[in-house]
Parts: sequence; structure tokens; C-alpha cells
Amino acid sequence: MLDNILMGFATAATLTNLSYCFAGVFLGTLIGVLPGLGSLAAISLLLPVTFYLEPTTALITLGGIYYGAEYGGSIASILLNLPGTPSAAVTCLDGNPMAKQGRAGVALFITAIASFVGGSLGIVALMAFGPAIAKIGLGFGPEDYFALMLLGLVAAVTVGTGSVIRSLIMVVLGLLLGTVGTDVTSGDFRYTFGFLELRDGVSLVGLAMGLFGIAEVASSITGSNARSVKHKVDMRSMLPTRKDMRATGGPILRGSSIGGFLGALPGAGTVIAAFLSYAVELRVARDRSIFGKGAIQGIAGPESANNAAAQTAFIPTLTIGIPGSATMSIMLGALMIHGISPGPLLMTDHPEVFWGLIASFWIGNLFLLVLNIPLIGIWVRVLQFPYKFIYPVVIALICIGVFSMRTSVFDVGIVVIFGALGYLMQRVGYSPATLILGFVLGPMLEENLRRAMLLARGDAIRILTDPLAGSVLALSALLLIWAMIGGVRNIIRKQRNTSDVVGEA
Amino acid sequence: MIRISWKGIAGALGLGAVCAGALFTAEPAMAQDYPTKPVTLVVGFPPGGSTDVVARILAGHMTDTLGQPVVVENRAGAGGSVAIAHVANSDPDGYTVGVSGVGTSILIAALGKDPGFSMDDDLDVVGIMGTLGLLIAGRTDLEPKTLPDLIEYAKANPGDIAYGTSGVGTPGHLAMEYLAATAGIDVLHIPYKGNTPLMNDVLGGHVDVAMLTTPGAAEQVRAKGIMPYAVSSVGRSSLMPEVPTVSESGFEGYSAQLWNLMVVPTGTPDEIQSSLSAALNAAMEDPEVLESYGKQGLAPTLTTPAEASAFLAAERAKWQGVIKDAGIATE
Repeated sequence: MLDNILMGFATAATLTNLSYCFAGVFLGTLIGVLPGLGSLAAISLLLPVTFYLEPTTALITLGGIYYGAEYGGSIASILLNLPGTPSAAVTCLDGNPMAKQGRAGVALFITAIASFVGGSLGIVALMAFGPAIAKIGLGFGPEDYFALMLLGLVAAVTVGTGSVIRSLIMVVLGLLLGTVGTDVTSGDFRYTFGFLELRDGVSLVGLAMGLFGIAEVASSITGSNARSVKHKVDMRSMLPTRKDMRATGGPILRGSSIGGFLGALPGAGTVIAAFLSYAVELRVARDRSIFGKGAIQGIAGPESANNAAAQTAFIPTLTIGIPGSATMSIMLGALMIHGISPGPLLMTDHPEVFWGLIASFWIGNLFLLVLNIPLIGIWVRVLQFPYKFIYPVVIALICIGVFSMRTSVFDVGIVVIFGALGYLMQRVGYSPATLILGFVLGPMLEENLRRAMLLARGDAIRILTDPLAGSVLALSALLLIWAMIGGVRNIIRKQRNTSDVVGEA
Repeated sequence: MIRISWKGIAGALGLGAVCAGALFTAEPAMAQDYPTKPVTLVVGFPPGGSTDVVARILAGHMTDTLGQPVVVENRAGAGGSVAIAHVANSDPDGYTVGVSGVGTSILIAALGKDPGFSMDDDLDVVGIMGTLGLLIAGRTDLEPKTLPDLIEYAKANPGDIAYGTSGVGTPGHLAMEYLAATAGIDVLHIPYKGNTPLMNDVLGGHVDVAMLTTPGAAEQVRAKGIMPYAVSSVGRSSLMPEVPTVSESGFEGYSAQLWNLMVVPTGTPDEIQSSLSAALNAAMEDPEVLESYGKQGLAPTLTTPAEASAFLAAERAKWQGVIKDAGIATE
């Protein structure tokens, strides 16, 4: 084990690999910051370049872009309320209010720390228990995935800091949008209206960039969301107070565990990890009213969760050859082009690739930290830019990013449509974050439930009595009851101090 | 009041045609000079997938032969239909070339769904880009250890065996239905969204049997994560020479293969089609390409455009027969 780790660092620490690792995380951060350009688009575009590199170097570069983008995605969320990547959508909820209060530097600093800790813990899990975690992941059958997705949905309803009814409407709208496309179980097309492009469903990136990106730009232009944040940024205003630090320890640890676990399950991914972590922070917080208004816990938890998930997503990918996400399958494709067949024997056949890559993750995360702390001051200055110069660039980038995903003009149309919807939603105070989660979870929930029912030959009792699925379903029920009790308590409290009625968000 | 003069329109059209003709002759890009600019090879699946890997291996070599870059463009969507429909609607000048698999070339249309183009009317076939077999594999604790045992078990326990595929109407689905119809067994189809979750569930023992693509499946066999029954190709796979074919296991003449065709829009000049065909075949004989093909479990193919078209017709007749015999619902 120690030998392997040392060999990994020896592989990763060559000058070539170090430079490519740095180039990867730097490029990844930039791409993550730019709204619309996610790691998937970036890795697809850069895949051909890596054909000319050694396989390990190629993977180190692509990996750096991947988790660099995961990190960078939160910067635009905090500064401009534009998530660079879908998983950074959660960071908007509290990150942007912090920026509006002049605490953008603190938010970015906490993000950097949370990402580093989350990423590092994810790497430790990957090194120490990779194969064991992969085995546990394999044990998850369709019924367990169904139960897990349901838990995510229940959590989603409680994520919205506003009224439960509004979150519920958004989740249901997300679920409905998720039904568009080819039904996996029957192969029939649903709501495709004859468009070939809709047979794979509405593009997630298109939807997210429309609802968040275009909508935010539109409402900023119309002035309903005036930006006049101008203040000097010195080192002191960037550093979190002792109170901030104390408030983030717990969320970071909880977020890392949630993210680390969910990342290891193929298909669950960083988006769900970030949302679930936010929901958990909301549940455990003593004062829930600060969420959505710049609660530091609301960025520390999700940020550590999505970065931990970004690292543990490599567990199924590298130890059993099952890609954890679309980006991961491109990375496996990169290996295949180099003649290395990814599978359970990768660790023994090509230990230098496996351990070299993992060692580079840690070096890459360190690079990210060193690179980003000094950059915070520069990022914050973006806020002092006149908005009329920012928004055309943002719109252009969103269109380029979405188009490059599938070389599809249709998806750019999707962005425009959902941009309009998102603007309307923002005007009437509905949060697109819960819609996105419903959209991501809905199709997986349906697919796994129907598959589980097929395998159980239509016997629902077999799903309910499955030890794992049954426990998770019970947990969802508990969470729902907890939320309801909390709601009732709030109503009672409200009636007691009638003076505070308007204050309840 | 505007009077529309048909003569005027005809005249304008004629003038337009002359101008277009003049432009065309003025342009140096004649068929015999082809290619004078980069050629786009359109793939209907995301980067890193098996189709993409094939395209990239061949594109690299064809770039050397044609003297112009052959660029792979991914237009994923609708099981490859988005990409092939795009090729069908492109100019027939040889600069937009498509990679069309079994699904877009035959199955989508044969199952009564609209692929968004007509394989016969809109596209010409230049050649075959190699063939690949599917592995029929089981979870390791499944009782039957060979394909004949599995068939016998399925006969004794109708509906008991659940088999997973990468989706409804995919070659894996039809290949198993073909086998089931031939053997007279009743098995339950569990469709997945692609290979990844399918592999997860057969490794985890949640589904009994899976129809898997090499080389991923070969790696899992080597690690003893799954039990191989047979490969569906005509010959054994270079990656798993110890695994028998279905044909050897008591179903003589059975074969179900994956392949990709190189297609161009109908009307592409013959000279251009010949250049592309020559470049494709040159790649198929290149030692480096052959080595890459071997690692992917792909069997190389050498065909003229006419032979490739005949191959398509034969495959179509076969799969249409399977769909009819196996009683797979068409819309």
C-alpha cells in the first residue's frame, strides 16, 4: 500500500506530469468559472489533444480539468449568481447573498477551503477503501437506487428556504420535464413532438443555463436586481472571522461524507451530493432563517460535498471500470484509445496509471488551493466591472458552451426557452434549484423503480422488505415527518409572536 | 398588384442555375481534386464511446491517406439518428461523412420508428468500418455454466431468467430475442440506459444474464466478475479466444454482430466515394490500426461500396426476419 502510494507520487511528481496537472486544474478552474462551459464540454473538446500524451499524463490532465471545473463552478455562482456547472447551482443560494453583503471574499475563501478538505477526504477514501467502496456500490440494486432517489426528492422539497408549496411545485415541474424523451423501459418516445433532439430528453446543461444564467442576466439588465457592489478588497475583508470558521467545521465534515458516499455510486453524482448536503445543513441548523440570506454553512457543506463526490466518482471508474458519470466515460474512452482496457484489473495491470493518477489528484487539489487563494482578490474585482460589459460575454459563453456539448443548435433554443421561463420564475419568486433536482432525480427514480418492479416480477413487497431499500425508504418517511413537525411548530411559534409574521421567509 | 410570371421565375431559376454552374466550374474543388479541405466524420454518440473510438482510430489513418484532416464531430442524440439525419441533409460533396451503426442503418426503421432520414433514399454506403460481437454473460453465481445448460434451465423454468440489454430495440435486445425464438425459451427482458448501469447490475448480481460489448466485457471476464457463455459473432473474439460462439454451442448459423458503416449523402460523386473507400480500406490494412482493432475486439473488414451495400441489404433482411419471428412489437 505505502509502496504503491510512493510509486504514485513518483509518477505524478515528474516535471511533465506536474506541468500537465497544473495546466489541467488551471484550465478546469477557468472553464468552471465561465458559465455554460462545464467539465463535460471541456473534456470532450480536449480529448483529441491527449491522444498524443502518455496515458497517465493524459488522464492527469483530464482529471485536473474535471475537478478544477467542479471547483471553479462555484466562483461565478457566488459573484454573479451564475452557476458555472449544474452542481454549483446550490452555491448560488447562499453564496450570492454573501457577495451582495460585501462578503464575496469570505465566501470564496470558505469555498476554497471546503473544496480542498472535501477533495482531500474524497482522495483518502479513494486510496484507502476504493475497492471496498466499489463492492458496496455494486451491491446497490435498482430498488436501492430508487429508495435513494426518493430520499433525494424528499430532501429537495425541504431545500427551498421559502414555502414548501413553492418547492413542491418546482420539484413537480422538474419531474414533468424529466419525462421528456425515450422511456427506457418501453422504448417509446414521450413528449418529443417529432424532434429527434428531444428523444434523449431536455439537455440538463441547456435547462440549467437557461433557468439560472439567462434568467439572471435578464433580471439584472432590467434593473430589478441592481448591482452596485463596489467596495475595496483587502486581505482582511477576505479572511473569514473566527465565528465563520467555527460555523463551517461541521458542514464541511458532513458535506464530505455525503459527497464521498454519493460520488462512489455510479450515476448519483455531484449535483445530488450538493443538494443533499444543503438539505442536511438546513435540517441540523439551529437557526434556519439565515439560509438563503448568506449562511456560510450553506456554501461550506455543498462545496465540500461536490468536490468530495468529484473525487470518489473515480472509485467505480478506476476500480471496476464502470464510469461514475458522463465525464468519467470520456476519461475511460481516453484510456481505451491508448490501448488500456479499463476494468477491475487496471489496478494490478497498470498500477502506475492508477496510483499516479490518484497522487496527482492530491497535488492538483493543492495547486487549486495555492492558485485560488491569491486569485480571490482578482475574482472579487469582477464585481466592480460595469454589468453592461459582463452580460454580453456571459450570454455568448452560455451559447457556445451549450452548443459545443452535442454540436446542437437545438440545445441553444432550449436555453432561450428556459431562460424566458426562468426570468418569469424569478419575478414571481420561485427557485429553479429545486426544479433542477427534480429534473435530475425524476428519470432515475422512475427508471429504477420500474426496473426493480420488473425484476421483482411486479411484487412491491419485495422492494419494501429489501434491507437496504427498506431502510432508506423509512429514512425518507422520517425526514418527511420531521419536516412536517417543524412546519407545525413554526406555525405555532408564529401565532405566539404575531409581531413576527411578516419576517418569516 | 403584383403579377407573378411563371416565365420570370423559370428564367430566374435558369439564370441561378447557370450562375451556380459557373461558380461550380470556377471552384477548384472538383471531384478529382478531392479533398481540398478538412473532412468531417460525424459520430452519433458521445466522445469516448465505442463508436467514437472506432471513428477516431480510422480518422487518424485516413488523414494521412487523404492528405487533409479527417475531423471527428460528435452529434449525440436519439441513438445516433441526430448525426445520420444531419449527414443525410448535408451537401453531397464528400466533406460530411457519417458513421452509421446497426441501429440507425436498420433497427430504428425496422421497429417502426422514424429515424429522421431514409437509409435507401438519402444515403450511400461507402464501406464497413469493422464488426464486433456481443458477449452473452451471466452473474457468477448463476447455476448453469454453459450456454446449452442455460438454455435447458430456461426451458425448465420459463420466465425465470432475466436478461439485461443496453436498451429496447438495441442489437443486444434483438440478438437475445433471436436466440430465444430459435431455442424456444421464455426469458424476461430488462432494458437499461446504456452499458454502464447494465454492467453494474450484472456484476452486482441484480440481473441474471447480460448482453455486453467488448472490450469492457472481456476485462470483467478476466477478473472473473461475470461468467461468459458465448459470443454472438461469426468467429470467436480476439479478446476472449476461449469463449465459444453461439453457433458452436448448438445453434449453427446463428450470428448477431455490431458494425458501423461509412455513409455519405446520396448524390456524392462516384470519384469521391471511391477516394473515401480507398482511404478506409487502406486504414483497414494498416498494422497500427489492426493492432488497435485487436485491442478493441473489432474484426477488420475490406469492402467496396457495392459489397457494403449488399451487406446492408443482407443484414436488414435478417433483422427484419428476427423482429417478425420473435414477435417484437413494431409501432
